[in-house]
Amino acid sequence: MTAATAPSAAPDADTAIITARDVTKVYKQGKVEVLALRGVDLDVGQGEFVVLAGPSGSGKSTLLNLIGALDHPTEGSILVAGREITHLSRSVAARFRLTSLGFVFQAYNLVPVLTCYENAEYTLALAGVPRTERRRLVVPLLERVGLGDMLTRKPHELSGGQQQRIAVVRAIASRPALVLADEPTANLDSETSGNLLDLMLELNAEHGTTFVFASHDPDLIARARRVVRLKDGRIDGDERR
Amino acid sequence: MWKLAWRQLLRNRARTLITGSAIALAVAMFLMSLALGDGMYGKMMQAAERSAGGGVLIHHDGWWKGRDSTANITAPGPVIAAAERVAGVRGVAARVILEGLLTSASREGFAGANVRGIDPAAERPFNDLSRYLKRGDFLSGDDPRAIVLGEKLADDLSVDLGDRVVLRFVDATGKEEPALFRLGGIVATGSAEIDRQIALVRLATAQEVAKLGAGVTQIGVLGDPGEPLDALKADVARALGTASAGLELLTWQEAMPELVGFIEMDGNMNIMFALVIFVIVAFGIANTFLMSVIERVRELGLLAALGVTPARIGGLVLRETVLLALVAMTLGFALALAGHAYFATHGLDYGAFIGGDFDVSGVIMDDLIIYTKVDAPRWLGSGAAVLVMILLSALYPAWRATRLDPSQAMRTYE
Ligand SMILES: Nc1ncnc2c1ncn2[C@@H]1O[C@H](COP(=O)(O)OP(=O)(O)OP(=O)(O)O)[C@@H](O)[C@H]1O
Ligand SMILES: [Mg+2]
Repeated sequence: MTAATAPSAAPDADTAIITARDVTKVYKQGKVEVLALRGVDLDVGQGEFVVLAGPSGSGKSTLLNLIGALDHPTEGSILVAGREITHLSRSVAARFRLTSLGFVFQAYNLVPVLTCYENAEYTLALAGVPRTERRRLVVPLLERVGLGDMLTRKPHELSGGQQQRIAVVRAIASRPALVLADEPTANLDSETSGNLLDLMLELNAEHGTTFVFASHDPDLIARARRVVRLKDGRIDGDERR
Repeated sequence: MWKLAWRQLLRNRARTLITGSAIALAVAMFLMSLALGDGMYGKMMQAAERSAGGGVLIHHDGWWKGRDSTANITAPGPVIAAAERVAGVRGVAARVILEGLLTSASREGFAGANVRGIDPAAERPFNDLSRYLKRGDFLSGDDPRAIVLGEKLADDLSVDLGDRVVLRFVDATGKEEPALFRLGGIVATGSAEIDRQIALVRLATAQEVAKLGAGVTQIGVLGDPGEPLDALKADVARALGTASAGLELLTWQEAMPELVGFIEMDGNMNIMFALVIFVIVAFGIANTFLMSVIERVRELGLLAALGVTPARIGGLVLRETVLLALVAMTLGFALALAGHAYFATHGLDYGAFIGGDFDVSGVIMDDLIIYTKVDAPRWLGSGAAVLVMILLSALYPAWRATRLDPSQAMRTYE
């Protein structure tokens, strides 16, 4: 089953999940200033499945980090789920990430000393969800991604694709408004990354979870419903399908 | 979070083992040195008490400060009898102390000296110097004018057995007198300082030359080792009743505060030494945990990115330290208790380490088998101090962990 045939929860453009205005990010490396973003405006509505594309160094990761409240923009403002996140303190930002966002990174997504199941339920446990409730939420998802019989394995006993699937389960288990993924398929072969993509499209369709990716992966770009192209820190194209 | 901390420690088993055993050993050594120090302290205090001449010293009021040869205990009989009746008393000895200048009859040498008139039998529970007799006899021959000198003092005077020595001193009537003695025995304690001070004659002889009659200068009372000196002093004073009129009772610690200070300083030095070891261990711990934080930038960054607050990330590092410290310290305490269980009954022969007797400012430490003593509040207090020190050493690594930038964790490919 793929998302293309799945009943699709229509994107609700009226409910803005991300509202970025004139976002600029300057990195200072010694005396050299790197202009990673030069005035980006971006609106993403609830339920969208967006990929940020563009050449290497165009600012995809930078934008994703700013949306994820992992870093502060130099200028401009960003609202995520209606909340201004531009000037949050580190600990408030951390709590905001925990309650409102899900993350999937390119690699090293999992805590090595925790088992597969423990990793998947980690953010739920952090948020204080009771044990039985966590099991109820996480186990079906793990079964669904084909990891139901690997609950007690450690990350190093899993393949790269299996690890990424656990990261996806963790990202969506708490039903966040927004899942951010930076090159989630970059380390995977095309079949594995196709399966992962199927999974995310299904979850997008079923729960209306908003996904925003940064990716070079042509397969991912081809199947996204919206492609925002970045170039030299500016938005160079915004294509909805 | 505790689970995570625990697994983290188990993940790096080698490092955890090394750091943990360093803590355990340091704690065990620290506690053992406390226990040995306390045992040693007790030994030293007892040795000091014996060589001071007793736990409680009785003199004519003012004699101890003024050393007035005319201020004596004129009727020692009832005093001795009363002191002997006190429960727990192991010895009572009357002494005559003659301060003056010793010269050899040939005038080849002279030395300032305290000649003590003693009853060798009564001195046995105190500091029995007859053990150190090297040549001649210990006031047991026929000669009433026999004197026993320390080896160094005899050397200084250039006298040998049978030679005559003269003491110039002030007698009980206040007149300066010479008294003639003949060297009957030489003792060698092994301490030059002590061997320069020993000059002993018979009690009766000393009483005679000083025109004391039955009077004495000092009566020493040796109590039960477990009994506090103040209690002994009170007991003796009570037993004396009216006989104590005109007398002064001093515990040896009141009489010789410098010696007490010296022994206590010796104990403090041991603790200081142990503390220095601990500070070094603490730096090692700080270093280990700092390394483990730096190694895990990505992992801790991931936790931060997922929404763990900086405070909790720092807390995680602290938790790792606390867990390790508690386990290691428990082990250290167990080791120390095992060591104590052994050394409290078998004793540690300290003499074997330093090769024989030694003396601490004039006190001969000849019985050097040290039995450990555990002062429970001190052990627990030190344990708490060590825990605090370990926590302090983990503060910097923990603080570093709170400063991690989660956006760098996302840039894993760079
Ligand atoms: N921490 C940083 N310090 C300095 N410069 C940085 C930092 N992070 C990113 N940059 C610079 O900002 C620009 C944008 O980087 P960014 O990582 O957002 O690009 P990207 O589109 O994600 O590239 P890629 O496809 O290679 O991942 C680049 O020129 C990069 O060198
Ligand atoms: Mg990137």
